[in-house]
Amino acid sequence: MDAKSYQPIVDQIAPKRPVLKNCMTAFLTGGIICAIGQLISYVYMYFFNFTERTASNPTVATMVFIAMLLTGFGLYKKIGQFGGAGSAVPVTGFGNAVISAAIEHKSEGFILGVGGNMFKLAGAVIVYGVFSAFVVALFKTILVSMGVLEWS
Amino acid sequence: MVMKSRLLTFQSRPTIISTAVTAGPLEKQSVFHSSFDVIYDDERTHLKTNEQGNAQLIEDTCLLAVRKAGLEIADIDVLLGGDLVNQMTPTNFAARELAIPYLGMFSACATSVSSLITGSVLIESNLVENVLFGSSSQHNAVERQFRYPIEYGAQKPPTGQWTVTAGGFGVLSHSKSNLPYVQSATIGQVVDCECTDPLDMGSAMAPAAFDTIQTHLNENGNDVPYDLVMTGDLGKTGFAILQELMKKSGLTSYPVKVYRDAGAEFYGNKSEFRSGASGAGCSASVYFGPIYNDLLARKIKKVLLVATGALLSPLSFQQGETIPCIAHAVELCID
Amino acid sequence: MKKLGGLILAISLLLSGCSSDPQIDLLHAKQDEQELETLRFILEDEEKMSESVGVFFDHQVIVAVQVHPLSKFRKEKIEKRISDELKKKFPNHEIFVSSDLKIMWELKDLVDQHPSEEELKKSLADIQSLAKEAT
Repeated sequence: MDAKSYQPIVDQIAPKRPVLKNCMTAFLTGGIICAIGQLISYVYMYFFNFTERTASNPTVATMVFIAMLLTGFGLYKKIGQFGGAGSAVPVTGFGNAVISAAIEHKSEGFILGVGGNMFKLAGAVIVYGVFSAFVVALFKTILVSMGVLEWS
Repeated sequence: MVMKSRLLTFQSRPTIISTAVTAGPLEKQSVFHSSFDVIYDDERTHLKTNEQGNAQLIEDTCLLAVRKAGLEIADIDVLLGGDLVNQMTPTNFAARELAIPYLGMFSACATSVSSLITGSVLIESNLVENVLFGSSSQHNAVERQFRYPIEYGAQKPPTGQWTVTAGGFGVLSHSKSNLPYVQSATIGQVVDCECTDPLDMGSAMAPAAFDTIQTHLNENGNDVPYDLVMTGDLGKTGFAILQELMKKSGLTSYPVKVYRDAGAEFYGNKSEFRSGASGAGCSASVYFGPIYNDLLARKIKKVLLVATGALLSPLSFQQGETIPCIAHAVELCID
Repeated sequence: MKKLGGLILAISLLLSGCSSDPQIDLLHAKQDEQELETLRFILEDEEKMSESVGVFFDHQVIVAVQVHPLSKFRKEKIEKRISDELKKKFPNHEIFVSSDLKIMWELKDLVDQHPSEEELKKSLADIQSLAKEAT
């Protein structure tokens, strides 16, 4: 049997990812997570002296803390299976990636295990987050210096 | 031993005199759980790491198999076994505790059968008396190595499989009456149909299983029909593809009563396990548990066990390599 | 089909929900009606807003606004536009415009309380320092 005649059989029989359903559950899950985040940021603004701008920091910290608890109790992977990108894209997904790796590698010690592997999944987010921010800033600088755009 | 092209026929009838199967807590949900000798209440058997848990599981299973055979561990001439963790440390460490001659075997999830075939050859050669053989896997230890951290919330596609925590070992000895013996075997070739998705192993392994089954059935010309041909861990997806391949090639005309797949049946129809079970412990625990018991009870008298293995590493698929697969077949009979 | 209808209804409600007239709350420490009217006129003129509060105190104009959700991306531009307009109309005043929700809440509380001049001075300083805090 050769690969060329085999792949069509796989495509025909193997169940597909239910993309439309996944999109809907991702939308729902992501929406709920963001609504909770919005609620928390209102709490920080209402009960403490945070403005819309400064409330984002404690909100992110709180969301990551909640993600940490959910990950530790084994609930986040269930949310992830249901929500897919909806639970991976918000900052809770980043928290989950960091914390799950930390839990996993605790058996290899705190320096080489936890320290060395904590960002093995989330590291990609940091690297490409920083890189794309740099590229966008570069473009905007060029456009502003050419007079096409203004700084905000 | 007579070798007719690729078929190994064992004339001395190497006999499986006992088997033992252990499983993790989640495997209580398995449809086969009543045939497991020990079900641990803790995934790591109350040890510190997953890998230690896997080693303990192997040690316990080996000792239980030896005890059930009415032997002492010192009576075993060689231990043949393997698992899926890097460099097979769990089996190596268990062999350290057992302190008997040991050969590590690796055919990924097909190790259950490859160790049985190797053991049969050793028995046939009359150089050894008793061989301990088998394989195991531990869910957490394997998942963390091949996929993501256990608690990472990645979405598994419907083709994904669940690595079992289980081990199956047996003692192989010279011919004894009223026990299942190894009639013949086919050592598989590596088959690569250029599948690349590590979350769809069933599709990758089905051609290997098909190739080995075809070779074995073609070369084993005797007319006694098979009561059962059972693949290892193709899962629901892979098994459906295997059946399609057989229909296309006319292999369904062979004298086989029923085809089954251990991985597809292992957890029943529970959707959280997606396509079914996988792992070196899946085929081992089913073959040396319920299937061995069925042979003893003579519910079935002639079976072909085809364990399948995907020969990938996390490194190889990240480097864009395809997933080569292997399947070994062994024919067990009882008079 | 019923589900789809419900979804469309919900979405259209969401999109049209904030089209009511903007609410404007004003306070002047010296009760200068003319200045208040000028400010009200400027704020009513801005159509991207759902709510606004303005306070006059000791040659200061402090304004907080809430823009419609879909205009939030242009929040800073709207702030600047209002600020420029106010500077033109009140050349002798110090202008402070914010579209932050927290500033809005605090300023509204202040207007509702009808505070004394001393309280007003302190609160306004607090509110302005809040806005200056870095993230």
